[in-house]
Amino acid sequence: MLGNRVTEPAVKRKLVILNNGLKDHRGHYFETSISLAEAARANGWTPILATHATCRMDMLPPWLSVFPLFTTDHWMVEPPAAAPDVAGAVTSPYDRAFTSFEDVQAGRAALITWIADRFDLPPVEVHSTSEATLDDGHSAGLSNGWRHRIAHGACGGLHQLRRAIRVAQRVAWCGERVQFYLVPPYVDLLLRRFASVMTTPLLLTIPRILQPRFYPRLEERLTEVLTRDRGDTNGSRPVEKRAREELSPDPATRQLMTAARQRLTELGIRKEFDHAQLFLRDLERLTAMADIGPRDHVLLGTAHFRELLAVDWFTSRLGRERSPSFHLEFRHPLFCGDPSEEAVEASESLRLQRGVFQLHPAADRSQRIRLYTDTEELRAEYELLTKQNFGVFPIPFRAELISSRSTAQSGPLTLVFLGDARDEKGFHWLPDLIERMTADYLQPRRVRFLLQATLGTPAYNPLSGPAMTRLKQFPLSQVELVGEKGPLSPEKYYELASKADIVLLPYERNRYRAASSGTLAEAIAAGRPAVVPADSWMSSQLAPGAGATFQDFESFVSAVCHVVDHYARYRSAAETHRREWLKRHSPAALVAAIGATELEPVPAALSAA
Amino acid sequence: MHITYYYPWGFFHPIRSGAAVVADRHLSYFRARGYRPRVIVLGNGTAEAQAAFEDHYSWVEDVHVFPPERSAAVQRNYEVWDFGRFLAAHAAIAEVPEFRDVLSRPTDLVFLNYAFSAPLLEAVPRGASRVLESLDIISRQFLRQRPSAALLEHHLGVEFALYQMFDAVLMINEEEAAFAEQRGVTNSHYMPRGMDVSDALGGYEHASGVQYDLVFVGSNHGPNVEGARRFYEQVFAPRLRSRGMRWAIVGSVCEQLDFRDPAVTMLGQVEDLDDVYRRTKVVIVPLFSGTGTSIKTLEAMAHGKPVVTTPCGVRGIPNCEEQVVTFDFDGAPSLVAEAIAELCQSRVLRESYAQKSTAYVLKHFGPLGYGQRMDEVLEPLVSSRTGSTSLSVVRAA
Repeated sequence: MLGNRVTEPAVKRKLVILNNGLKDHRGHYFETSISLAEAARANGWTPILATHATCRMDMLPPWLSVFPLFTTDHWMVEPPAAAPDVAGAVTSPYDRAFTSFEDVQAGRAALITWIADRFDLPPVEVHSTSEATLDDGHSAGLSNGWRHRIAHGACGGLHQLRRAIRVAQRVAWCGERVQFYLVPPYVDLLLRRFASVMTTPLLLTIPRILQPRFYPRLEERLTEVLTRDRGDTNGSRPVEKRAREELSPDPATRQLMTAARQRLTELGIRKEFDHAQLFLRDLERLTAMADIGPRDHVLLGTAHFRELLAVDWFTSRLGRERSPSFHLEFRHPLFCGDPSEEAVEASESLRLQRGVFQLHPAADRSQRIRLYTDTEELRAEYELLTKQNFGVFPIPFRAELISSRSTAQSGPLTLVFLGDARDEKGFHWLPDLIERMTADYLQPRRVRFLLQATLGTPAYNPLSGPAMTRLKQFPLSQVELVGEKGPLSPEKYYELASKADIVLLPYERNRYRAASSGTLAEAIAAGRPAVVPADSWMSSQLAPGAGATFQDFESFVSAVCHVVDHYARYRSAAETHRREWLKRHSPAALVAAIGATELEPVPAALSAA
Repeated sequence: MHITYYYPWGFFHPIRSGAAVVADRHLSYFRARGYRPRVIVLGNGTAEAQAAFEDHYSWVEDVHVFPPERSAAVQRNYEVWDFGRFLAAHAAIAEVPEFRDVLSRPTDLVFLNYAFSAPLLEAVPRGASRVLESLDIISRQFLRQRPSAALLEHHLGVEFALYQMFDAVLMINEEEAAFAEQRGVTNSHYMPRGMDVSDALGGYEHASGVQYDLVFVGSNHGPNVEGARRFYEQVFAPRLRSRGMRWAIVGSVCEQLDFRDPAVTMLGQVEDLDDVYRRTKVVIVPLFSGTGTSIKTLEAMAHGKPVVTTPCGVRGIPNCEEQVVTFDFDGAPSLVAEAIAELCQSRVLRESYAQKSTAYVLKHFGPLGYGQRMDEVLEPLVSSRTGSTSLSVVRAA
């Protein structure tokens, strides 16, 4: 043992920010994740970010440990991504010794035990004949499967073919030079023209195996076959593979999974079970590779019941002593109108959701799972539907990046729309609003509009596309569109937000009755008046006089005009309110809330009504 | 003060790699301070090679050579280019009785090379100060090209955790040292290589023996092999060979190359690298991947040779645009060829680069600055054990 240290090494807990929908800058996923990581780091935690497998790495700060492991996202529209190659690392947490590095440093555990927890080392008695050498830089453990042999042979053959083609290309080059110098120029020109005309048809007759431009793709696929044969579920069909295998070797967990599979199949949403299985696999990998243990916390900031199922199975099998604490935050509203039992009974969708939430054991065996929303209104909805206890988390964001803007300014007030252009966010109201304000506000240069125009999926937002076309017809001095080409980088987003005098949120009230809005949170924290739907969480967050509400389009127009006409008063109220807001809502507040749970037992389920 | 020094790549004299340059610098530092470390090397070698090594370092306390095949567990793991396997190999080494005996002898300072040798700490005496020369963020080098981000993160996490087992971690690349610090490593120290300006400065026109236009020096490490091949395929064969240029390749990289080209001379391991540099006009460093600092580029600069390299080949060598010719070899092979041809043809141009590069090396990587920085790192460790600032006492003497 190493025990050389006079003092006990400091124990740093890890906060895993798990967002399997995080792929790029779109939405608030990126911002909230980074702000939480910063707050965790500032408060003595070790932050880890777990994202979708296709997440852009270049947008993430170098100080943050990032594991892009998750192959399914929140929306399940696209097929699962290919699992990243993680061969060589231990990817199953169940057989680990769970040796902490602090124990190694203090001499209570052997380093080799910790190493064996992290790396997929072959048993001492196994002698593999296919170990890699320094030459090819490949990690060990290649099996001698038939797929490997064929792929290996194919790669070798490919190299020979490439060599032959290079020789042929050199011969062709020589021929071309001979033609250039020895053939009369006119004939040369004719021959070249003929060649250029014939190139495309010729390419169509040449098998792709003989066209070098396809070789990188071919080699990539062959390499995938090679790595797949390592026995990992890295590959394109993990679900079928899992289906053939026993669900779980642990009887209690197998029972949970079997019940879930059966129930979800009965409900006609078997796809949710498949995605839960994939999420489970990726969660197992994350826990093993990031060395996550019982002192650590995992936050799923945008959770769904399929992730809850996967976490149930995971903690059931891993056990209380070894599981990290999970905090699942549900942010999607359930009810269109006011929540009630009658509404549940009347809605097939709500009854279905109640049915799947019932798969979460009333008594959480592991005592490691806590459920949350981010608004009181949403908590009431989820508790009514699921009969489970939910907490409410603060809302994290980085308001300090929105620069202050003086109220005593010349020039028109800037009315800003932030976020994706979606129907549910009322983007299609904007052209009509602008037309109604043209005569009295735009033409006298009292206001101008600055709109984020990042269009959401057209199929789900049929009104926003035509609205965009109309908006482009307004003079640039009156209406400026930003972000048409794609999601804004954080710098561009905050630059846009900083220019706002008034923030417009013409959101659909039914959809946003209980849901939070990161855009509103930022507006309040920056001391900007906002226009929001009435009788919603958003309206409840506005301090008196700090914004205006609306019920329909006409009242929306009136609300906007009223705020413009009395801007100084609204702005003063908004700035006064921001300090109070910031005391309750910040990344640090959320991190503190997570830490505080260590002192509290997991709340029991609500008794049946 | 007793020092135990461990090096994992066999004998580091004659110098055949960047790591050997670093190790040699360590030993020179200890010698200058009056210390005689116990040197342990892992690797194979002939009796003649060992004799030459021991002769060169005759002033050390003693030299212990551990052949990997002495233990099946060590050999089995050490032959596989994998971070986990190298860690396991070193854990196995610490269990071999005769090796453990050497490691566990009383010592004040344990000085290891590369993070994968950390398991050797299991055998060292309690209370010894521990220093790691990381050289590179080595865990990255075990991964094949374009590894998944998750696997890279996994390896980095292990390596940075291992750094915590040491009192000080020396890093030869300033950017990597900053990166480690960002990741929570609090005991890392940027330690630029101390390099001497060689007496092979210039000298081509007066050198005797076979002369070369180009030289590439490298071990059989993957990036070196890949770089040599790509340079040959994209630049040398199509664009330089026809100009009558001659290219020498030095080092164990020759074992992995099969050019069979009369214009390319595979020198393999050489006894006197200075002599090869003296007989060469230009040094090429065609590297496309790697971590740490490009020692081979620094070495060439220290020898007063113009260097043509890639952006990767100047890693850890900041602001050297005037001293080194840098190109995107893949994107502009013709430009690379033209630059090399121009350098080979113009003595004036070569001498200009020689003066600028040697001045740069002396300024940023000179031995004086290196010694001072090492003192700053080691002195607190030494004084905490001996109760005196031993290093400064020796230096003053």
